[in-house]
Amino acid sequence: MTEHLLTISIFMPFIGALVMLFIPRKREQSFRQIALLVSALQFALVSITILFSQFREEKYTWFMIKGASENIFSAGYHIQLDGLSIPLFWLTSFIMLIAVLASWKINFQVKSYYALMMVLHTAVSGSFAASDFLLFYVFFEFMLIPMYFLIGIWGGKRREYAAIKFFIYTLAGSLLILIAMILLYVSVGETGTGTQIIHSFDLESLNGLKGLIPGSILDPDAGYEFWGLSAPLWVLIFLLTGFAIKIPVVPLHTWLPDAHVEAPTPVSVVLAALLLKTGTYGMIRFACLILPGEFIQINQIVAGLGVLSIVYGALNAMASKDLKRMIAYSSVSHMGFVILGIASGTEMAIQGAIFQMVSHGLISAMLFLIAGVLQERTGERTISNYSGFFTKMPLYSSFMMIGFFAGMGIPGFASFIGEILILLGSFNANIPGWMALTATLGILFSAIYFAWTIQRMLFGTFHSKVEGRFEDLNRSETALFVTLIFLILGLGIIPGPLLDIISGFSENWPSYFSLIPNR
Amino acid sequence: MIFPFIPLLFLLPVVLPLISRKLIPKASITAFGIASAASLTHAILSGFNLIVSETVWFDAGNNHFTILLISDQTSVMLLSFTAIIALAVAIYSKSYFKEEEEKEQVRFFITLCFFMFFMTTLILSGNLFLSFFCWELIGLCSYLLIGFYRSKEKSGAAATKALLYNKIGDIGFIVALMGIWYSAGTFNILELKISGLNADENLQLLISIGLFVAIAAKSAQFPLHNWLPDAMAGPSPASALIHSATMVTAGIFLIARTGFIFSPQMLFFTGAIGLITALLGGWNAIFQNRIKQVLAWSTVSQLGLMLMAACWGNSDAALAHLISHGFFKAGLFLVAGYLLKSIATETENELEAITKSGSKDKLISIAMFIFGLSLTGFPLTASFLSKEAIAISLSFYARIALYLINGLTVIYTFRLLWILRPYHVGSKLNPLTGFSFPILLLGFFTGWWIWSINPIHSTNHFGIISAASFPLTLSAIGLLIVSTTIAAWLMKSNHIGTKDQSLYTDSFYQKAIISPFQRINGLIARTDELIIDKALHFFGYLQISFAHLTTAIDLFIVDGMVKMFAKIIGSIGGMIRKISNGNVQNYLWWALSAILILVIWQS
Repeated sequence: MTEHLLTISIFMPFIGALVMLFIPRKREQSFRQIALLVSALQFALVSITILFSQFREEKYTWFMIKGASENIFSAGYHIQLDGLSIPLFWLTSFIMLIAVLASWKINFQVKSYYALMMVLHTAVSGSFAASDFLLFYVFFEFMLIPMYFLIGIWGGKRREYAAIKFFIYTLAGSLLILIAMILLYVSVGETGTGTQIIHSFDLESLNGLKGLIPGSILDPDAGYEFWGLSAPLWVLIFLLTGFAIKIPVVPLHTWLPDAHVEAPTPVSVVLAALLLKTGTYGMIRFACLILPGEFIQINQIVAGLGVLSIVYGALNAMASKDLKRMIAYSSVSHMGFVILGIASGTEMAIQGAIFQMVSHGLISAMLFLIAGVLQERTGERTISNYSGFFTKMPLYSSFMMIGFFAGMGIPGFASFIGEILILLGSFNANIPGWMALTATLGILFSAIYFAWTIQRMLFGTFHSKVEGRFEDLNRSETALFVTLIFLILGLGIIPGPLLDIISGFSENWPSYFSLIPNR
Repeated sequence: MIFPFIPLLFLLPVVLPLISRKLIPKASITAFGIASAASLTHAILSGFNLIVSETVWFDAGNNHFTILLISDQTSVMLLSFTAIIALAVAIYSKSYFKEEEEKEQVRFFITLCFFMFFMTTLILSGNLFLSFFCWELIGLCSYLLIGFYRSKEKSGAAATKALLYNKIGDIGFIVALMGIWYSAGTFNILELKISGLNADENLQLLISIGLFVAIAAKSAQFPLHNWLPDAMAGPSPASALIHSATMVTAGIFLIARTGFIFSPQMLFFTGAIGLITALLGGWNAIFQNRIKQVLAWSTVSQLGLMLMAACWGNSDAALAHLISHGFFKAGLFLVAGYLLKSIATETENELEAITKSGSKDKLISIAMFIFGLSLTGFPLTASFLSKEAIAISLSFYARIALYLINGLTVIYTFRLLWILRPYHVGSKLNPLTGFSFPILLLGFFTGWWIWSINPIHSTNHFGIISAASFPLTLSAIGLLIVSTTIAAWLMKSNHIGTKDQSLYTDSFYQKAIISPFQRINGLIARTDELIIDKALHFFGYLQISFAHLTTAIDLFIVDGMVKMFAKIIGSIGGMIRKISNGNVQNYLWWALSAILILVIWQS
């Protein structure tokens, strides 16, 4: 039993969803309770697993197919937690718990809503644990379906447009990843008996193309080239682009603001806090580590795109009139820092990048919950409609202020540690210095849009252009925010424990690219 | 080794709201008092020797980020200075906020406690990373206090302005940190001092520029000085502590700590900026009709003076002036806060309103006179000695600039003192109140005795050992007399019209930076919609059109062929159907014809 803790915690929500199918749709409260129970149990289980369990890896054969000649395709069920996935796996459990609690007020088609939420839970957890590319791909793709319906059914006015945009964008990305996978499949394998080749997507043979079949399409010595770029480089570009859509990296980001603006609050929370992270996670684990030699050739371009995301996202956030759209663009900007950190190739930068993923997960969840309160109270999120919230809803205003401070990357909040480590690490890397210097603008810009929003919405005498019940936060909402603030501040003031966990992964990072480890 | 815990003393009252809100003001005063006593004790016990306390904070990328606190002459003196001013301000605030709601009082005192925690940690910090951590957070506390009156639009705008200007400085600090990390791999100031930067010229220039921007923003130096006069929207106690005595002087402290990192030309440039700011601030202070604006511009000017002294002369002299300035300027702000309480409504011509309302505390009026004299650097005051120290450390030309700055100082100070002259304002001597005690406490520290026994010349203070400089003192006094005459002449016209307070820099920023930026920003914001999404939609339409095309092909060609075949077969069928109509005669006829054709064809 204990050795299967990981599998259990991945599939627990899925089983919860199955149970929900057998309950009549009229008993709405029971779906909420089941979802809460399952995600709370799962959260506890994951916390226990991470803290105490030694079983961080499970490896079985999923299925085998006999192909042409004697070759065998062996699909593995290989899940594993390391310094990269532990924080994200834990974050998934936590954010899902928060999302379930935040969904309490949804009362339209409750059964399907929670069932989809639980399926999403399993898919996200699975993709953070998978150590086999095929398995990852299955989980990764499986997130699409619940997400599509969650936006398309429970969303705002333009939900159908947003849902289809999200779906097509991400599907295009998945297609690129699939092409890359096929190319990887034909070029990587282990020799079995005789001339037999066992193909598999296990990272053990994929990482650094360890199991490269001589003469195959990805063999650098074979010299396959398309339009002047070598075949492995193409595979890397496909993978990076596929994941870049999910992150999203400018200019592949336009699905994000629309999806966020239309999605219901808890879905926005999950989208920003977790789904974006699957993109960066995939980029680290399945693009950089599989083709490190190629990655280091184009890492400057990737870093440049990261900087572009930082600045461009921030500028757009500044111009946004809708609170939620502003937060969505700030996500683009903050995820740009992660890209910069990944592309730098230094230990400190990758550590900062993974830290930033966790901190952004918590902070974006908080920010979207803040926007959600406004949405719930008035149904309108245009910033210029409101002023003087401090006098009317002091508690809400304080939380909004704290959330915005966290978004600005003020020291003491988790975002500061992530961003400063990325900046220090990337200035000290083999990417041009101006990139890290330009990235600092992102911090300045984020201060501008967040502080300006505080000034417009919170200061002054209370005024609202729209009707609504402007009640301050109730007890359960307060509890939710306080928990998030506690974690954000905790990570910002005592970052040591999380950084130690991450260092289990990050300490080898420069060596993957045969870089000399520097500060 | 008590000094690492002194900052924590300031943080203690913060946990109190969990128990009782009422206790906060008293608890803060007690804690600040204990902290002042502790820091003074430490100052005496340590004897200005270097003591280092280091704890690992976290590890990142094979490096320890440490909480390194150092106790040396600079930090010990500044620590005591900050704690004493904070104590005075805390006592004063208790009376000042008496009429406010309890909630608001708690908010003020908690912010104050946080501010003091970060400020004292910054003073003690010997690690630039830790310094930056506190550096930004004191800015945040300042933001919270400027925006203390939340229902006022104006305070929101002023707070935002202060935060953004400070954020520019923070970016400068981050850039400097990046450069230092790159070149030296350590943030430890003591190590940096020994090992040096190992940076090439460009990198050193970058680091210096970054630090300069940080200093300019925090200490309100040209061209980033505009936020400080606006910051007066905050409550007067906050202005006294943060926007005159402690936070804004952090820049001077930083240059005293990191001046050795600066490249020589950048050090000269920074000093020049200090000079410009000092003149600009002094000039502007003459034309203000709001008491706190006069003081704010005066602070800008004095900060410029300190920066100039720190860059061109001796940083210890600058720190000495920082301390004497902090005491009397905080005192002036506390007096101003008291006087402003006496006028109910806000008016443009505050000074006149105060004169008319006639506040009734003579003690405070006298205190104001003494603080004012300190500001001018009058003999027998502490600032006379610190200005002397600055003068000694400067070169000849810079000394002339110093006299010029001081001339301006005398003019605006005497204008202020003239308008609010004590016999005009106060009428009777009131017993000590919550207002007057802290003012007197600060008044005590404006005397010469904090620097030396000799009232008009200090031989050794703050590490500056100077030869007798009697001519210098004499010239300073002479100048004082000349400027006082000018001031008296100017004061005949009681009211001097106000000018654009920021000397047109605000409107310049608006026109040259903010508006174009907003325009560009608006354009960029629309690229998503107009370019990326349009392109996507175009592809979408293209694909749909293509789909329509294939549908047409399906319909007309593929289906058409199928249908054509069907039609052909159908028509053949129809023909055959006509033949096989069930009529026997007909069949016979066809059969006969067929046979006939066969026979004919065979033969």
